[in-house]
Amino acid sequence: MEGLKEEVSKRIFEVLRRSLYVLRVDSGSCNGCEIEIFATLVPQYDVERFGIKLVASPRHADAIIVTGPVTRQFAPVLRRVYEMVPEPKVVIAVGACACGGGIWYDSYAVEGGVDRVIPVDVYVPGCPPHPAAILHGILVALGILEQKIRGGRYEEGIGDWRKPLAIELIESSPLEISWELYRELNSIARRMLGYLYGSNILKEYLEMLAKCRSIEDLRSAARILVEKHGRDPQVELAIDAMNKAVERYLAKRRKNGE
Amino acid sequence: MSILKVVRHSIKRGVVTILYPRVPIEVDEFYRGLPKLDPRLCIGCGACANACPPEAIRVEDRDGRKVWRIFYGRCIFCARCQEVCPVGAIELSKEFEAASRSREDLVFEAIFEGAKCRACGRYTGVTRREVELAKEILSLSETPRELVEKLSEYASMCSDCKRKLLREKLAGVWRGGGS
Repeated sequence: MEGLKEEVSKRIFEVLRRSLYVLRVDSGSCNGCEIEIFATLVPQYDVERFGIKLVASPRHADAIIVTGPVTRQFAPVLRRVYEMVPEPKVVIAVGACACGGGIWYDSYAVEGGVDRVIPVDVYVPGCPPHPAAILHGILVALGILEQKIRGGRYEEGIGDWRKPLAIELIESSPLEISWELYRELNSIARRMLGYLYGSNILKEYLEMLAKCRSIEDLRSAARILVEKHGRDPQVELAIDAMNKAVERYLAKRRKNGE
Repeated sequence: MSILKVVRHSIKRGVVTILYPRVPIEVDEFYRGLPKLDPRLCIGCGACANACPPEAIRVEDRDGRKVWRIFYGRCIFCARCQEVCPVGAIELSKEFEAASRSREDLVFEAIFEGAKCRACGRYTGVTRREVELAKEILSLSETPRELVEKLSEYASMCSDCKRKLLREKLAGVWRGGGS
C-alpha cells in the first residue's frame, strides 16, 4: 500500500509539483453521484491519502469531475469552466448521465453526455458509481492504474448455442415435467420471492426436482431446501406452493392417462 | 473536551481505511455491477433491449443478422435485462471498476445469425437460436405430438410464406366443399 501511495504522489508531483486539486462540477445531476464522490473522501476510502483534494474554484483545479447529463442551460457554463481550468487539465465524467446521457439520453432539455460539450479523458460509468470505482477512475486518469474494461465482440459460430439450464433440467427429470409446469413454477417463484431471489430459489428447486423420482421424494427434499434457507417463512410458503403445483400437475396427468 | 472524545473514539476504532487499489474490495451479495452477457446462451430475442430504460442495450438488424450491443456508459444497473431474459443469458456481475479512457472500450457487441425461411430462403427476422429454442419448448410442452411437428415446421417459415400457406389451405377447403 505504502508503495502505491508514494507512486501516486510522485507521479502527481512530477507533473504538477504539488497535490492534485479536483473541482467537482454538477451539471444537472440528481446528486446521487455527488454523494458517492463525497463518500470517496470519508475515512473508509480516503482519496486524500493520495494527495487528491477537492477545491471550490476552477482556477485552482487541475482536474474536473463532471456529473449529470449537462442540461442545455448549463452547457455554456461548463464550457467556460473548462476554459478556466489551467493546463494541463483532466476531465473525468462520473455516472451514467455524464458518460452517455443516462435515462435522459434523448431528452430535449439535456445535451446527453459531457463529451458532447467538452473533451472527456476518463469515463466512470455507474448509477451511481461505487466510491472505489470513482477512486479507480481518478487513478486511471492519472495513468497510475490500468483500465480493466475492454470492448468485446462475439460472432455466432455453427452449433455453439448452449441450451438454457431450465430446459436441460426439465429434460433430465424422471417425473417428466412439462414446459407449462415450469412456467407455473417460475411465476410462483417470481410472484412470491421477487425475480432475483425467486430465480435463485427456482434454480435450486429445479435441480432438486430433476433428482426426485416420486412426490414423496420431492416433499422430503423440499424440507431440506427450506432448512437450507434458514426456515425463511416466505421461502417456505413459495416452496409449498411449488410442491402443490407439481402435485396438481401429476394428478392431472394420471387422470388423463387413465 | 470534545476533541478528546474524538481522539478516544479514533483510537478505539483504529484504522478504517480500506487499502483499495492494492486490496480488492468486497461488495454486497446483491450488488449490481456490470451486466455481462453470456453470448453462448443468448438467443438474440431483444427482450432486454425492450426493457432497458436508457436503451443502453440495443438490438438491430444488419443484413439479416441480429446485432446485440450494450453501451456500459449509459447503463443504470437496474437489472431489468436480467429480469426479463428468458434464457438467463445476461446477469449483473460484481464488477464495478469500469473506468475507461475511450467510449469504444465501453461497448460489447454480439452478432447472431438470422434464420432463413424454409420455403422462400429469405431472412425471417428472427435468429436461428430463437427457432431452435421454440422447437425445444414445443417438444417439452403438453401440446399433442402431431401438432408439435406442424408448429415446428411453421417456426422456421417467414410470415409471408405462412400467410400464403394458410391462403392455399383455405382455398383448398373452399374448393373441397369444407372437408
